[in-house]
Amino acid sequence: MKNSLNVKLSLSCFFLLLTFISCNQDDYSAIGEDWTSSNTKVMSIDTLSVLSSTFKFDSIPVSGTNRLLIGSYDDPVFGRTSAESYVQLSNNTYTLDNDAEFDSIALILKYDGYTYNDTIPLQKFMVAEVLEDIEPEEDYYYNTTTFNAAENYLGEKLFNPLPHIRDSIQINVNDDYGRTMFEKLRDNDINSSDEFLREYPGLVISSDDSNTAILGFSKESYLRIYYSIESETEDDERHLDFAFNFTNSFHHIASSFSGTFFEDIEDQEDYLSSTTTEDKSYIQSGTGIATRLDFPSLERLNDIAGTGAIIEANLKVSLKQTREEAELTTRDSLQFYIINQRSEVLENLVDYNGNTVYGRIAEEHEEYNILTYTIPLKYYLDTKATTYNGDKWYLAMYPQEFASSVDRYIIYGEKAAPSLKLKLELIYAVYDE
Amino acid sequence: MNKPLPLSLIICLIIISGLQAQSNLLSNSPYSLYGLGVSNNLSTGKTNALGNTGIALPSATEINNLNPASYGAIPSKSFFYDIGLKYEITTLNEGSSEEVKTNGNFSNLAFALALNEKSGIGLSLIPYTNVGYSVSAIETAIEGSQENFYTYIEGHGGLNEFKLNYGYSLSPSFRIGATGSLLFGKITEDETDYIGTNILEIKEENRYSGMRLGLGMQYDLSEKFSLGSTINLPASLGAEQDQEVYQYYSSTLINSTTEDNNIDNFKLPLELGLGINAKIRRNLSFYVDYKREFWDATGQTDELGSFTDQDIISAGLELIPGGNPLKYTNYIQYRAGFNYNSGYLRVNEDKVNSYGLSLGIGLPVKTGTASMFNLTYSYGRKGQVNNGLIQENYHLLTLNISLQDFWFQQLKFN
Repeated sequence: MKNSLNVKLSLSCFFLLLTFISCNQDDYSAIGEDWTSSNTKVMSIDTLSVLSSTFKFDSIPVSGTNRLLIGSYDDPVFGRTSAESYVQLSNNTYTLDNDAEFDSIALILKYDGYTYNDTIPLQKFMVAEVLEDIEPEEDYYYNTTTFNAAENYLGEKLFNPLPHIRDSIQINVNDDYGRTMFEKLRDNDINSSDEFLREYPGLVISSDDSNTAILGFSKESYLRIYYSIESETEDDERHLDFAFNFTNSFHHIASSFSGTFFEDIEDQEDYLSSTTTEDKSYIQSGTGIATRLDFPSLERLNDIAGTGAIIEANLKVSLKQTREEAELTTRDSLQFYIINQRSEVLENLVDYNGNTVYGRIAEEHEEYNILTYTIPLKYYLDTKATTYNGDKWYLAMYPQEFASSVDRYIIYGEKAAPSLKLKLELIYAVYDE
Repeated sequence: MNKPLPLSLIICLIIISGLQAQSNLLSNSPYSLYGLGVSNNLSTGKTNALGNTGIALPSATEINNLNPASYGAIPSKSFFYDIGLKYEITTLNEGSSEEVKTNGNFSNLAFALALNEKSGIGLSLIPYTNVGYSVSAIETAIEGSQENFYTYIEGHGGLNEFKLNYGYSLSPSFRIGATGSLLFGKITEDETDYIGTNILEIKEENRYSGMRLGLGMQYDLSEKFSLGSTINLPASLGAEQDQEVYQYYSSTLINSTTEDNNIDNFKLPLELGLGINAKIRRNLSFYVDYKREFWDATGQTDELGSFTDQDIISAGLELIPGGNPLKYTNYIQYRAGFNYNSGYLRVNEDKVNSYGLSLGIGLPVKTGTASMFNLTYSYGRKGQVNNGLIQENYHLLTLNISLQDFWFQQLKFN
């Protein structure tokens, strides 16, 4: 009797407990927040030094772009920049009517809309014959690649660049050159692509020193021969097009840096600290001038008592622009390579999801010519801190279309006004004091 | 008496301790953020109804866990056990806002037996501290900026005290006792910081364990007047911490670390207690206890304030009508109590004090034994709104099932 009572008691206490425990609440309470504090200290730090410098990649690959740059201009900061394009022609027509007669030949360059600097004055382009096979060195054409060309021009053109009005320019080419080419095809002296390229390795289109602009053209440009076939009633006018070979057409970009900051740069291991270049660093697409960024005092974070972590890291980069300079093209994003001490590219800068990191325009005040980019650098800083030799990592900053434009950027250094200066903004949390 | 009884008790004990380990919030008090949590004041038997008094009370009819010397008064051949349950409704008031929280749990498990005419021994498992809080959206400035970040903190767990008591009667009116406690448990705190679009989550599990010794004595000056005193020696609870840190960058988990940290031992202070038990009339008893805990000497501080010496004064009254022994209602015991606790935490200049009132009845389970259902209702208040603290008002219902058996009689036949 008593036993069963106690068993019942034990059981009932068990079930009672179950009910009681299920009564527990686990909701967050709004009470207590005023006098309880977080155990974590979060601080915003923008005093860690960012060293900027300017260097020049020995060469940048220009294969794979759809644009051909031609022209030249003088820049007070960057000196004279000139671009010429080597093009290989492709031909598929080896059978022409025996009665066909050559009329004329012209190079048709299709604008792709890109221009840099002053397009108001007349520009002058020249066409010459390339004297050796156009072929890549180790699979790539670089901005430094050149081939021998004839000294005599096959054609010249003085023109008013109107890339937004006209769709192309036409440069008339020497008739003898065109007639010979036409007749060799018509008379079956040339019967294959190999034979054609052996005779006609390609053309180079360059510009005169009087030019004030660099213009962008599509690789869908072509060389055109106009010919006609006589008939009894009237002449039948036709044309034969030689397209540019996409792979073997590229631009070569050269600079004359004499008198500029960059004249003493010998190779890409030389870098000019912004402290010696008016507290600015520089970027010029096409020629390979890029800005190197270094964060030498990151280790100071370790001096903060407690265990901590970078929560957010953004680099602020502002461009120096005068009113005139503001009219020059700037891209809406900047990109980065991780480079070593010898400025060799180790990898593209990505984020935690493996996506390429872009510097995006954060602030744009047209009135004051202020253009500021924000670059998220958390992954870079975290990875740099945990990677062997990460202390010898630097960032190379370059704009979009680095290989297919000649855009120039001047970036404020650390000594500029607070709203313009180069700075690293960190949110840093210490959770274990 | 039959043998399966202790077995069922042991099963119940195991189940309950298992449940206890799983349960979440044992308390709903923001004050449990500090120290090892909120101290549990509940004990065995009828003492909860007597304002937690009982230093001078002998364990003659049930287990009194407040003084080991009382175990010397366990009637020979007796076996006592005690299961306590509680249910609490707490109202938190911060001046501008108010919240109601409820929770329920077991409040003790104990059994004790007489070893012989003069001595008794017992084991008890009682929550020592409770931790249960969850505070939302604590706004903190990001140093060096105009921005804020937001913290959610949640803590749970607590320490249990597994206690071995031994009492011995030097004479019919003088008892001494010793107690040894094993204190153990874990307290977890999860902090989640929302910093911009990123999240930092810090999970800490602090495990404490240690031993504590105490002594007690009870002296009956007359049949109507008893004195008691207790001393609990200072103790240091060893502590270890596992810390896990998770970093979410735009909701992608990008990093997690696990670390074992060394954290400070927690020091328990010297505790002294004095108690009086007086029979004012034939059917009316009066109890007064005073306890002091010397926290100052531990030199410990907490994030919010420092630990300071604590005084606890309590008083209780018990009425047993008596009269016609055939009438059940004459066996019902009526109790009332009061206590004041100065608290051991000083915030700014104010101690977080508390007081409580209790009313209770004891319902006899079966004649011929001292078995009793002790039901208590308490109302209390902790902290004050007017000095910027949180005020907690609680309604607490406790049930102690205090049973007596005579199991050694049975064993004799084996």
